[in-house]
Amino acid sequence: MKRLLAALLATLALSACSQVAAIAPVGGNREALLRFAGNDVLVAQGVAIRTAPVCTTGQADVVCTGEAVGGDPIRFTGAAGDPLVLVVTVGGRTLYDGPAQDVVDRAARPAGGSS
Amino acid sequence: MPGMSRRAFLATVGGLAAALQLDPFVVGDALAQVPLPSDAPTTLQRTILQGPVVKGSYRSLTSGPGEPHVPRIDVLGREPGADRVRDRRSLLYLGHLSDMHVIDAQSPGRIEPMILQDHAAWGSAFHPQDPLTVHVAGAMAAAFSAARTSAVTGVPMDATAVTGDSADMHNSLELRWYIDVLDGVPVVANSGSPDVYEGLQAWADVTWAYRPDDPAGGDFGDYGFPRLPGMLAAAIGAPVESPGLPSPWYAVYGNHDTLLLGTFDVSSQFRAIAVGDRKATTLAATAGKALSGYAATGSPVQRFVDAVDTTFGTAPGFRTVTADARRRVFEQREFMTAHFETTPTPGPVGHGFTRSNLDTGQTWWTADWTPHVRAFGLDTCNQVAGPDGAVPDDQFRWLRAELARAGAEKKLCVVLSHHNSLTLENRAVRPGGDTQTLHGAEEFVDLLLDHPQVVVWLNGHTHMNQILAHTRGTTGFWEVTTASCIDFPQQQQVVELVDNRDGTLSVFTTVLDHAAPVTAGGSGWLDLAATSRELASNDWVENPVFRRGSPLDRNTELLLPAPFDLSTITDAQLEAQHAAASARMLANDARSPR
Repeated sequence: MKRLLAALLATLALSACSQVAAIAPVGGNREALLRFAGNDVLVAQGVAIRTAPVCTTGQADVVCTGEAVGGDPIRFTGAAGDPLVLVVTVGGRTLYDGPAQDVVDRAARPAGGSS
Repeated sequence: MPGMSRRAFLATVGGLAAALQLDPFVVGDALAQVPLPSDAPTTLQRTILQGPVVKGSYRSLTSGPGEPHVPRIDVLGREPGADRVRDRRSLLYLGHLSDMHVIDAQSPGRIEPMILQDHAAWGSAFHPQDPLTVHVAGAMAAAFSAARTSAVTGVPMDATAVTGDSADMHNSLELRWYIDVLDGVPVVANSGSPDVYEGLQAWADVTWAYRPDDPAGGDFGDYGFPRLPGMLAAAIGAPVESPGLPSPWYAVYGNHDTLLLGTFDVSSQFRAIAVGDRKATTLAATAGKALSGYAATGSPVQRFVDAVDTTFGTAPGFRTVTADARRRVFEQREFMTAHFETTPTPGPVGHGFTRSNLDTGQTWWTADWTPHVRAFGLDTCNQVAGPDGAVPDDQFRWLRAELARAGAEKKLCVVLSHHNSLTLENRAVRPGGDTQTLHGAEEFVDLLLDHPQVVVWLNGHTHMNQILAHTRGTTGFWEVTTASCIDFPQQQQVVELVDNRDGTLSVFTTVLDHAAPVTAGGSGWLDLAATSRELASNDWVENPVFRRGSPLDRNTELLLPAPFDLSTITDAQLEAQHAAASARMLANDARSPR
């Protein structure tokens, strides 16, 4: 009974604070994941970048816009959902359309190695 | 030294030798060397990547190719001149550490079982590598020691910035260990019992934690975490023999140096638990006792919890450990005081904080790192609640006045804070407390953009490598966020400001892996740091690999227009600066064993 009461009180205390979602040491992970994955795509495909994409997070989507050397617009979009799906376009040409996590996972492993 | 006359060279050697009590012939020999780009180990030569699956989902680590500096022109807005590689000269070579999160893992003043409530949300409360943080800090100091001269220009390191979250849980021992590691004082990463590891990871019934003696039966075992018998005993056994940093180092507050777990006010009950002999092993015990001051001190919820605790006495879910008064929860001002209890080298005493800070309680500072570069160490931490930060109005107004003064004096400016521009919106205030305005990211970035002599803002907090450009018209500055010592990739960085002699500056960032072997195994302190890195790379709730950032966030050359005519800085002045830094390193190396 005492254990149950303590757990109940703990839950009350936690819900009263509304800080649980902010406890992890990082914020904006979704936006960062999209930006890193998009940049990985640009670098891997040899896009010369004048302005690296700057991101804004809306209620559902993350959109990042930048500019290639030569003036072509760069655009990353990430739609809400799990996994986060990244679309990278440069000058209207699609360079990648797939899970953002797959891009960073590949970048963190040796080329040609096992996945 | 082409910029310095023979007479000036001899005078410099004599002056430095006398000031630092060194043999003038040794100083002369060292200063006569022509600086050559260093080939010390950095990620320019080799990276560390995820290797193959070893068991379940658990992967080892492996070596990857080095990464060259990637030029970025977001602020400059045009192609850089090709001659800059030939013509450049160094204005400042700097180390940057952040988020060391040194942990006394056996302390009762921790809240690890909270991961049972929500592992993702409470991920920072428990990591499988928690007993090995001192080892990682020592291995990182060794990496900085190896990178003591620049890989770009060969000049010696002028200073190192430490941008907060150095002690994890407000524990005085953690604070002492971090300072000692950076000073090069050996540290035995143990507390409580002198010879027995008394912590969650040693207790067989705590199946929710990673228990290296036998990880079976919990999530970590299911994931494939390895059996490493003897790891905990080794962690508290031999001292970590850190070489210390090779340059003077300067510290600022992080949210973990301000609030409990960087987020909560510290209750009187928690203070008693931290130095007591009972350590919580369950969620109910942790939330009901250790964190009862969590909602808001003095709230009806807490008072009710305290009343229940008083009525019923000892709750279940605790194990008895050896009490240790050294685990005392430190007060906010003691964070500054501790930086005065330091070795004379690499210095400086106070590490950025001055007697004035101690007298007034002001937690931010300014210092001239070189005759031409001024640093501003800010405190962006919220004093009330929440991990993110903001800039209080008194500090904001102080910085605005100081930046104006620095501009008039033709100083290049480096700004240091714990929080970055994506985590500067915490405006929590205590009811009836301080009512001054808390400035967020947009206002703060605007303030820095008002002063073109601000070239780089260094920070941390989010445990990832990230570089952002901030521009206004034809000017701007670079914001550089470094990763941490706790989460993978356990990387930090060196930063160099370079005059390209064509009206532009470059800020080179070079990521450092710590000096432990790539492959885990063995029980020496550096081997244990290697184990920590591998465990961290498999700590799935932290999504470890994405914290590496992209190539645009790691080894880079960040270009920007020079804010004033840099030819007013003579080669002779820079050579004298580099000579002083070299001599300081000689003095640091020649010190007695600590």
